[in-house]
Amino acid sequence: MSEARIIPLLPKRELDETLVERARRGDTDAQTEIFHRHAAAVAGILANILGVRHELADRVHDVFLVVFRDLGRLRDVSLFRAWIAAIAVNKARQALRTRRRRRWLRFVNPDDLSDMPGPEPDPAHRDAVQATYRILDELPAEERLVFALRFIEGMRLEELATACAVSLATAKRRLQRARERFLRGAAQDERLREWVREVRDEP
Amino acid sequence: MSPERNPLRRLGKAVALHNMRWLKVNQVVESAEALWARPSHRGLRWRLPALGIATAIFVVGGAVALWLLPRRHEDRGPAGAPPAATFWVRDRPGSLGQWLVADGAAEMACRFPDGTSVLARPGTRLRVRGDTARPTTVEVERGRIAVSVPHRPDVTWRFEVGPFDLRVTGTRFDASWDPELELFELLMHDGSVETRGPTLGAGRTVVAGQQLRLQVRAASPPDAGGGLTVPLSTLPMATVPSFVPGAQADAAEPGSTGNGPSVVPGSANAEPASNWRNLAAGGRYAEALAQIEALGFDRVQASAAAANMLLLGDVARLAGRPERARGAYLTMRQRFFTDPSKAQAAFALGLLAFPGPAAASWFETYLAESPSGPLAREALGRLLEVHHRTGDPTAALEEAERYLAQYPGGPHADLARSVLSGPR
Repeated sequence: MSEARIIPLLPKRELDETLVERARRGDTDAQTEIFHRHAAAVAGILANILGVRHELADRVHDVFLVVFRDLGRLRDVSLFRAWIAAIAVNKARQALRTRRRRRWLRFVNPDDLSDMPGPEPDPAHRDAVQATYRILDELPAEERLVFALRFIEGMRLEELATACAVSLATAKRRLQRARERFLRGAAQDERLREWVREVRDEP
Repeated sequence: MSPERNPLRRLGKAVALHNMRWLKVNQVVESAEALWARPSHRGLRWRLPALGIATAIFVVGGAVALWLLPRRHEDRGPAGAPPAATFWVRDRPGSLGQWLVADGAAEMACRFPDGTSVLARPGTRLRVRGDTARPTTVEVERGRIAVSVPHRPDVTWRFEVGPFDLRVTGTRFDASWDPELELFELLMHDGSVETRGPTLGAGRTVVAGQQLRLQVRAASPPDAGGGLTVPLSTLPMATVPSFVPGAQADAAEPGSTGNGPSVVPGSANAEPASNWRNLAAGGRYAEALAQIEALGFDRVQASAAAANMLLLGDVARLAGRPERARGAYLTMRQRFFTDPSKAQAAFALGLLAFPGPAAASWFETYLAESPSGPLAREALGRLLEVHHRTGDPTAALEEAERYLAQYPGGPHADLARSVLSGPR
């Protein structure tokens, strides 16, 4: 019998552009691999903007429908990752607007954040998370987006501006307003007071 | 102030960590993947947004309320998981113990309540076993599966792929078994699996980023009576018409472990002569192709492992069916895109296109994917030939210099010197 061989795979980074080209031609294997590589990041962006909810799987799925529908319009394949992020941000924006409409019509209860299915190691963290999204729920959608992308997702300002499809100046302006509103809300919430006590002006 | 010391950023990190834990525990990505495997679901979801606000205004109050209600997921259970059935096969409840076959050209998606998903390629035959409360084992008789198992302490699965046994907790992998070739392949995307089976002794752990390929069939001893024992997948490469005779010795040596093709030991004496692989080993390509066509070329291609796909292309090419060959090589590269031997398919596509300009990109692809592979010298030499023949002097000069730097005594060395010494 022949001997088993362990073969190292090629680094994933080398295959992204090839995958995109194949996906453009309708290669479903390439589409599936693209999904596998980027679904977790997309889910993270959506969760960080919207908070964790049971329909997140649907939202992730919706993002990739748009990705493969519009893949032909992507001119610079090297920006693929940033482009997917922008689609995810846009889907989050749409979700936020839908939520606002529902609240205004008062047909349904506002969406509640899903409880953790298992024990949260730090209850203080859980409280802080709920308080954070309660305040974010009061922000205008565009300010919520920039705040979540900057402070929760951890994007740089340039990345954030690209993901939101705005200029750097606009992004900075919105971020400043969002930060001020958030800090006002946090100062009045005992679950967040300690977290933001040392906030100073950002450089 | 550095991000780590920024209180807002510190708070944001705590929120992000909470979200990440929630996503993992609730298998959101796996649920989204299961949705992705259901084409019927995609169409319905697109029709709803297309209604638009203007249409909603004209709908009576009750319908507006329905449109505004949160999407109801009672039909899918919490977090997008299938309802309380043992498992689902293409949107229908599956039965434990019943053999399932992925017919036709479509893949077959199986989903389980714990978030595990199994995608079976066309031609795969498998069944799910376990007790009535919970399926625990997937048995693959033949074919290829792509598996995603959520990482949870209460989730353990067993996959019996041919004679190989995989124990998994929280991982993603592809596994296949070709019973005709007795070839097992395991491709790890995430996590790790412990694999047991023929030749693996006490077991082998394969982790993310690794591939395990194992041919169980014993290699034939050298046959003094004239039977062929060179690796099947390399033989056709050495017989292309414009191949310089001196370079034939460059075909991959048996047992090669570099970036070259997988070794598929000849077994001319082990199977009936009518087997198409044996016919190909004997150079009887037309007969081999006739047998493949009788079995159904597309059917054979759909269930072929990587090595067989290459051989299929070689048989078609050398039997004078270039369009069949091209399809097989392209499919091989798409289906086994992380397999090192896909470079060999690129080289073969270059041969098909040779000496036309399209051949250049295929030889360049081979050199990019397998720069020190067994066909690298030949690929570079042919690349030089293409540029020389198609009248691209700049490219020809570059390749000539490159060739002489690496292979000063190679079969294309004279051509390279001639290009370099010619008018510029």
